[in-house]
Amino acid sequence: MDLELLRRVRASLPPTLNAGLLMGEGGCCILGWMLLVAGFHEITIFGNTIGVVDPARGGPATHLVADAYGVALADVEALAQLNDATPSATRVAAVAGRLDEWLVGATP
Amino acid sequence: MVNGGQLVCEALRREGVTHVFGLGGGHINPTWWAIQAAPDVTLVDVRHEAAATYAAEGWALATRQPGVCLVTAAPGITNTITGLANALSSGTPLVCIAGAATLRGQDSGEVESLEQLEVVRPVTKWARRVYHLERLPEYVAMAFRAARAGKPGPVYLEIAIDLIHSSIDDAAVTQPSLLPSQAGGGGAAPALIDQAAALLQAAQRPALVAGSGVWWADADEELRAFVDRTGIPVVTRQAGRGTIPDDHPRCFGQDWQNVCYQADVLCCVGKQLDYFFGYGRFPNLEHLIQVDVNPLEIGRNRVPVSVGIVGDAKATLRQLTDAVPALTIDPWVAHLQEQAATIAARQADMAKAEDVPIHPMRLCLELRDLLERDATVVADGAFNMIWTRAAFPAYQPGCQPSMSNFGNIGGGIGYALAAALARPGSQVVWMVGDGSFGFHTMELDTAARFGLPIVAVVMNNRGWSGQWVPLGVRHYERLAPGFDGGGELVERPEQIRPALERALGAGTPYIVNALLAPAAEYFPGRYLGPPRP
Repeated sequence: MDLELLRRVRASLPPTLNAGLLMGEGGCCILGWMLLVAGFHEITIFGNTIGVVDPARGGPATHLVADAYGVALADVEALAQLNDATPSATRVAAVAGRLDEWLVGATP
Repeated sequence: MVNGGQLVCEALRREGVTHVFGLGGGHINPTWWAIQAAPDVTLVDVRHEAAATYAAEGWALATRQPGVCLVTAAPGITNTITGLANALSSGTPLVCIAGAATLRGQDSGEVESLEQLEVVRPVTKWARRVYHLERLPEYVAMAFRAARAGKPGPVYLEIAIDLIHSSIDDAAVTQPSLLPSQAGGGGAAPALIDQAAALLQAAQRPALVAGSGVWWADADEELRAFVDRTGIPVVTRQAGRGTIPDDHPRCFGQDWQNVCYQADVLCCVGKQLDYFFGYGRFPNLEHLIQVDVNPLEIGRNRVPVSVGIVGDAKATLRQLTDAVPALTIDPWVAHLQEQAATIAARQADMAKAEDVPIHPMRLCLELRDLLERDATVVADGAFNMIWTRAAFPAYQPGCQPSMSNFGNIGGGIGYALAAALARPGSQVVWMVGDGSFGFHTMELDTAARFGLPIVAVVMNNRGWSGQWVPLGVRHYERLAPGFDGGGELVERPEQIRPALERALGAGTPYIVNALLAPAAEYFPGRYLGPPRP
């Protein structure tokens, strides 16, 4: 797990996260935010729901987040589902909690 | 004796042209007057040359025939550049005929003088200037051939003002032979068909992608026959939308990402491996079969291609139908159908959303219920296209024109004008973002003058979506009386349906300005990989 990258995500979470869209109207879901922090360009995820459009490293967002952060695919899928299933008012807190669990679990 | 304009008009009539979209100017008057006088050609005069190119492109997207635009010199040309570039990006056949400054006045400071050929070459597939009047019909015929040949695209033909005003004896003009409107093309070598058939039969999760090439090749029936025979799941893209109806049991509409990400063997017919197709890179893909009329498209972006077929979609799909039996893929199809049902259920939930401002999917689904199967829905904008594309199924080809990889916005009203002219009496709806609405709003005047009851639904989230730049609440509906039409503001869910019913029944241009929720929630379902054993 790339702890440094994950800590940057945790420390920089935006005030709101949307559901489903990787990025749209200036906002992101957690996968979109993690992709931006990992260096993907906005155009590769804008207006998309599930995939990154990039000629070199495109594909399903869940796969690319798992690869970029060294996290199990199943954990990324669960994070995405947590993001989408949580009401918007408490979404950031719920996602932050899950990221904290990852960080605690991975810290030696 | 005939003048240059009369020769152009006659050449267009010989090509079967019935509509020309243009904006007048001193450098094209003889052509303008000749077309105005032609009883079987309608000259649709628009309010900006860009709109003329969009309408010409829209005509091609609606009818499968090259669209024609007629514009004047210099600024007339520079105003077309975005539309021509869009048509080049989408591979849409379009013939742009332009005026130009005099041949003898070059470098003299003449008005509206510009090296136009140099300007248009990067945004067209073929560009020429006519130097001799007797060859003018030949050049018009060449332009149409070039627009249709291989991968279609925009072409450009300019005629200087001194030439277009000059006259010639009829007997001095030789009329060229014409190509059939659909030239057709060859299929594949039998060995390639056998290889493709073997891969499809061995696949566990095969899928077919029908792109614009299916539409331009007039291969709707062949596509349907192939899908019916094999039972292969199919998705449609861009001008390929509707070439097989979205409610066909094996059609998964526009949900290409979900299907392609899971497929192990993909057969792409007439779909370039571009941005709007994930550059053709899919995680579970073992074999890509690619069929394209343009050899340069095979393996674009260094995507590995197992079988590359340079061939016409119509001929190749016929060959594949003969070669591939019914596929044994029931679990795969059932899995996709289950995912589609999940997405449909989530959409149905959104259709009940009582949010104020209105949830965009609520607006789209209320409209969907009011549309006929042959309705044209033009998606124009950025963020609003997500909702429009997800909400509106395509039942017939040529009914969902959309912007290309070029990424321009605002030209959808041109597509709407063309669709309304091509299919008189059918419903035409321009689903446009509030930002995009500002580009070519004056074309609602064109709609009014030609009696085209286009409904503009402004999906108004009060800002530019790309980087979220607010525009605030603007009463775009108040523009409608200026265009002899109706307009209304829709702020609450219960206002949607009555407003849309009035709009669709008005018989005039109509503006429904719907205030939507910015950053609305979207629940399409996440990609969770192919079915696990």
